[in-house]
Amino acid sequence: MITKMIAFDWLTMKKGLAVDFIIIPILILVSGAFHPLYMIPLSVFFSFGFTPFGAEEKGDLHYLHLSMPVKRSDVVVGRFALSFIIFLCSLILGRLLISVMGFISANIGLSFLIHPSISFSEYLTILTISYLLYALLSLLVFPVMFKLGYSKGKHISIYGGYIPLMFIFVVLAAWDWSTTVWGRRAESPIIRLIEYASENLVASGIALFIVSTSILLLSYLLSLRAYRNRDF
Amino acid sequence: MKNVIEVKNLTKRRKNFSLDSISFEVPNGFICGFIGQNGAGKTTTLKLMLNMALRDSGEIEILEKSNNDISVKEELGVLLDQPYFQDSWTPIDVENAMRPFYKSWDSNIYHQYLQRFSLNFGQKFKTLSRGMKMKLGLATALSHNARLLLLDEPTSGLDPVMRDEMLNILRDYMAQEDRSIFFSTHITSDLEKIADFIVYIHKGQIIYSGLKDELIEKYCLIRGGKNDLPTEKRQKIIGLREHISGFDGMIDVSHVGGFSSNVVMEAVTLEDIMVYINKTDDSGLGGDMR
Repeated sequence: MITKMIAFDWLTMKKGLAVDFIIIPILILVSGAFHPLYMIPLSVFFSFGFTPFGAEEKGDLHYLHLSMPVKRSDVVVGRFALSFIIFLCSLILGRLLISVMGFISANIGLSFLIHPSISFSEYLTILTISYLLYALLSLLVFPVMFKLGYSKGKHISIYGGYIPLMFIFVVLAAWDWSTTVWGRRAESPIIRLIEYASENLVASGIALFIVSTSILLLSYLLSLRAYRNRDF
Repeated sequence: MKNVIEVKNLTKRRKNFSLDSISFEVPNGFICGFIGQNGAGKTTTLKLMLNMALRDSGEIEILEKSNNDISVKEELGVLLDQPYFQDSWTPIDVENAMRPFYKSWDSNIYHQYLQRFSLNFGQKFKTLSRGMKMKLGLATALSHNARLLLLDEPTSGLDPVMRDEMLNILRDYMAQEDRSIFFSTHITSDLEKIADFIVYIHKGQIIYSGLKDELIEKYCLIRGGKNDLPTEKRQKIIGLREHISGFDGMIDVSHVGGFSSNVVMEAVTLEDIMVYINKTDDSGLGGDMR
């Protein structure tokens, strides 16, 4: 049933959003402003900018799902699975972009403009941070969407999820910047955390993986509960 | 005779509306019209039957299984007030989306319906007229050998020609054995043509459930002059309207005796029954018609 749901959701998405899907990597490629770190926002952008929830804006799929021999839990599992597949694909796409840009950089001599080189440890760090961000956004977005649907849920996700998250990042960045300005950079907890992570790459990677998976599991359980209790 | 639908003490409370412990049965092999005014509870009942809405209490059995049993939907053809397909889908995409979920999906039948309905295989859903969209929805509902069709206002918003065509399709569907239709509508003229069983919901309560002919034969329209209405008969007339030249209303045929010969009586239609029941309700009368 999961594969059927994935195929169904894919069919709802692919036609309307096919163009959107390729615009961002093309822009990154042609702009020449590529950096391996772009994999993080790129993978998360694809996973949440490219979901079957968006397709609901042009037709309420829930009524169709629930008139078919489909359990509510199948709908939730299918959407999580498809979102995760898209996330994985975008990580692979990002890795391919790194290789392509590395080739261009080496052959055309644009290394001063683009930064394609990446070590294995950097790549691992990018993967784990991407996964954490993906899990966090999944927790902020999916349960709300399953509870309220796309048209109502998107506002709550934006104002209750994205903006507070951005605010937290801005506050942390400002705090970190202030410690740097005042000459106490080494004392910044963020810097210390990053230093610790870079020195203990495997341990921090495993820890991040466990935390992210737990967040994703929580997101799934909340979504399941929200959708089971949703009254149409 | 087995029932295809059995609803027992179904209750659902919403903010400004409630279904109040409704019960009804629909026998196998019938076209059942589910009638009632807008807002009477037709769509809510259908959503409860499909498990889209969550009931507060009560039981629903469809095709002799609980409606919680997902396998029931294999044998249901559902068409709501509109088919909820994606705008960008073509009829071929619709088939690709729906087919995997139905073991008895028959592509030949689906394609035959598309041809019969003059639906272009490659035309996008958003470019279809409402009538064509409903036909596509019906083609989908009819392509997996469903034993029961659940239709919610399928003819609403269609022109008379298109409505007639839709009714013909439903007649053809019923030509095969062991098939039933539960058809919610407020366009009673459609039911006059094809229904043989009626479930009538009024303000969240079932006030009639039985054969259509019995319902129609139970009442007649009555009208007469100013002096033709005996005082003792006044309470018997449903939706009584008195005007300068006389009166009119609807009456149970068991109460027609005792009027003068000037009084005219005529057969009622389902629409008349709905209109006069509503008037009665406004005047504080009403009740169970069964």
